[in-house]
Amino acid sequence: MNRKPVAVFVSILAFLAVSGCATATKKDFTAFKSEDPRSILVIPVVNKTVEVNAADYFLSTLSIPIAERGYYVFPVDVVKHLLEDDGLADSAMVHSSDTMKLCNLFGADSVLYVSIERWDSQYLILTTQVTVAFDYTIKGCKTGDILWNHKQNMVYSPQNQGGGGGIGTLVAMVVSAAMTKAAPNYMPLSRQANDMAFKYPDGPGFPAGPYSPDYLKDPTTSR
Amino acid sequence: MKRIIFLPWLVLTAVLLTVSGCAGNRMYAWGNYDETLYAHYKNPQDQGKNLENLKVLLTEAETTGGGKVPPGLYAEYGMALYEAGQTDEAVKYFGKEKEKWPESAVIMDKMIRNARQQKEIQKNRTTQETGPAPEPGGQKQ
Repeated sequence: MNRKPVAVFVSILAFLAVSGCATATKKDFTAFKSEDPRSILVIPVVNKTVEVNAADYFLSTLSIPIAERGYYVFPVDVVKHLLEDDGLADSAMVHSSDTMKLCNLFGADSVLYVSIERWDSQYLILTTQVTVAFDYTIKGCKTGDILWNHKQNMVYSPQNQGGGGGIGTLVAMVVSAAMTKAAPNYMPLSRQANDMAFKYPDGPGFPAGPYSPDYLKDPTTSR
Repeated sequence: MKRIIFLPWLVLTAVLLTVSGCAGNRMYAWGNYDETLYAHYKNPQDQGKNLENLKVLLTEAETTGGGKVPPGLYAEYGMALYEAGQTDEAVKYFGKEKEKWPESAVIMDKMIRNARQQKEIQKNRTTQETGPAPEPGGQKQ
């Protein structure tokens, strides 16, 4: 058996395991814990870039990781419709409107604001490299204060995860570049950014919500 | 010689790290929920397809997913039914969301009200008999 593909596979997995789960940073969760939100209202994403599809990609990937953190996540499509009924069809308008107004409109405990700050695609010979930056903010509905904020930067390229080099990586790069050109799918990019941003406690994320088995079992206080 | 024994363990460790560290075990049966949402944003006109997709997700969550229906799914399905003009069914699913997730009460009450109003409008139109099929979403944009 040729062991080279296995080595490449291992290095890809190792990279994923390390890079997918970001580094730990200390954050102050006093405000977060005193508000103790049960639900998070995910409002439409503000897109400050020229990548027109970015906001839709991003909005559709937010519910899963937040719900998995143990919060009730308001159904984003229903939210979109209700906002439109209220004259808030544009995401920038939603973001600039009063937090308390949004809280009352939906009966939410907190609101998640996400804006896409950067989304630069670089088309190289064998690969597409996308440099992205996202800003996440959760505001509490009791005070309107910021409970959590994180800026996630990431360079995404489905091909640069090897590091091992060799002919196996090269073939993977060619195949992957061809696939990316055929149909650029930024679902994995969005998922990966969210996974990195919400990772907790070994990452920059926020404490677990009431539906999570980790709720109130917060290691940050004992660490 | 040593490498041959070492390598399978390395692979196993790497797989475990990747799976446990990043994906983890999910609390809910999501299926391809995010892809479905995205497809709906990309192609909002195709309401039939969206309704069908959400129905599949919901059925799977209730059966093979062991009833671990994720938050929002009953409501999204209700929304698709509402858009398709199936207001009675929509009210049923908005009610299910509210029952399972009390946090949704405010907006589900609102949606149930909207759906009932929509039903009244439909009734009035059908009594007139002549007009075209009712616009399900009410006023758009």
